[in-house]
Amino acid sequence: MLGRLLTRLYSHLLKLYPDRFLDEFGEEMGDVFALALSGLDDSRTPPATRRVKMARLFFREVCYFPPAYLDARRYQVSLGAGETHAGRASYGEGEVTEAWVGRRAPWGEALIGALPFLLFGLAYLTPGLSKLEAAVSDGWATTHNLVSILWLKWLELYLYEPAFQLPPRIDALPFPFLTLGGLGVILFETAFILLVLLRPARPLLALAGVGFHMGNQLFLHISFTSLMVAYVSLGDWTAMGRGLYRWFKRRELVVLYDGGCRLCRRTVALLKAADLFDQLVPVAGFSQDPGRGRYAVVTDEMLARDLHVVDGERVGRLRMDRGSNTAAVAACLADALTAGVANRPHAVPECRGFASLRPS
Amino acid sequence: MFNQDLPVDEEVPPGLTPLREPTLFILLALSKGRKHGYAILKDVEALSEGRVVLSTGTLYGALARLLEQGVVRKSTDDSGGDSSGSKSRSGSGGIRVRKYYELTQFGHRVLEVEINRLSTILAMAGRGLGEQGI
Repeated sequence: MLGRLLTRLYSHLLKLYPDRFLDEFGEEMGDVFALALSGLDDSRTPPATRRVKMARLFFREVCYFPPAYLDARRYQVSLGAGETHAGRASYGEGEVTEAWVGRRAPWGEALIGALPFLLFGLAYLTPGLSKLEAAVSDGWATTHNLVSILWLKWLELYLYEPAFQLPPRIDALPFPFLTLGGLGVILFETAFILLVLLRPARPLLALAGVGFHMGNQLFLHISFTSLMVAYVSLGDWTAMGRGLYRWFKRRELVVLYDGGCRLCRRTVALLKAADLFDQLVPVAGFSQDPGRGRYAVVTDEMLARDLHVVDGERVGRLRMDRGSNTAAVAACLADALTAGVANRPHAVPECRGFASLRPS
Repeated sequence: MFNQDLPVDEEVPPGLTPLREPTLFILLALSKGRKHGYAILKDVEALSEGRVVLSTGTLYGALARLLEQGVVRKSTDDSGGDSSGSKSRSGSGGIRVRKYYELTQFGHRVLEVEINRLSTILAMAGRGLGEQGI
């Protein structure tokens, strides 16, 4: 019974890992966890001890989730767009050699990316810890104390603003309601800084945060208008942009690149990061990328020399060697992107060198 | 699968060592031969005498990094010695092929460099303590 529950909870925990990491290791992780659980199923162990051990096993997974998530995220980022590990590995020795040369994303970069969210989290952590301390030492979260706080606040508001009308009488609700609310506030404020580091949790946090502040406004007339504006940063605007793109069905731009070339992978990763409307479709050469077969007319040898762009029926080359004009390449890609969104012809001269794509 | 290993005389690049403790124990577990995830987990616990107990997240996060660095490789075929068999029963009851991990030649070299590094430190510490008569 407990084993089944923990296996189910673990499968939910697994879903929080990045997609490509999950594709590569998700099944194995599920199997290993199930094996570890069944390893505890020893008839000689008293049931209570067994249950504690099982719970501890799951608790360990939860505790080590944040660093493991960062490892998984780094793995996903370093894979680049459209690649899988098996796909890259087929490239052979070159890939292995390249794999260890300064491949790990530095912690500094990850920290810089997380910094705005950590600062946001700190705004909650301090009052959260303060309430936690007060709850432990002075019973802050008890119904009696919370009712006192409500009454005091209402009295202040009443004296300050004679026209003020009392909010709904939450002080008259049954016993556990306010205590649960108080504990919920402590949990929300202290856990916010950790949860905000997980991208999938951010929209939910924004909803919970707005709800929390609206509740404060309604019951205590405390408005956090300036903080509520900050919740805009928790929206997944890229996902929304991509949703819009799919909605309008704009044309896509296929970028064929050498999957074994670090510079090309990083370039494509940068372009994908800026691709708000999800218009770029990266396809890796020298790999088992499933989309590769559609563009067999652009051979791997061609990709070893140039990055190629396929726009509908036309294919163009973008030189990426040492003598290439980076500004022209960037301008061309920007032009191709905007042309795709606006459904207009290409304006930048460098992009007019597209030849017709004639699949062989 | 990686087609070829790095030559053993290849220098271990800076930044790869020192290894973190869980990573070192994972490599030590794999130095005895190829293993699947659960066997690595149990071996690490046994080798460290219960001091290092890995979560699956830590294990696979580390394996992902080691695969990337070319230190370990993954295989799914059932050749090679592992008495526990090569198939596992999935949570949903289906049979799926078990995946194995093993050290590459480069991985052996990394482990050797790390063990040498630790031995040097230990020897230096021993000498230092000896001079103080401890």
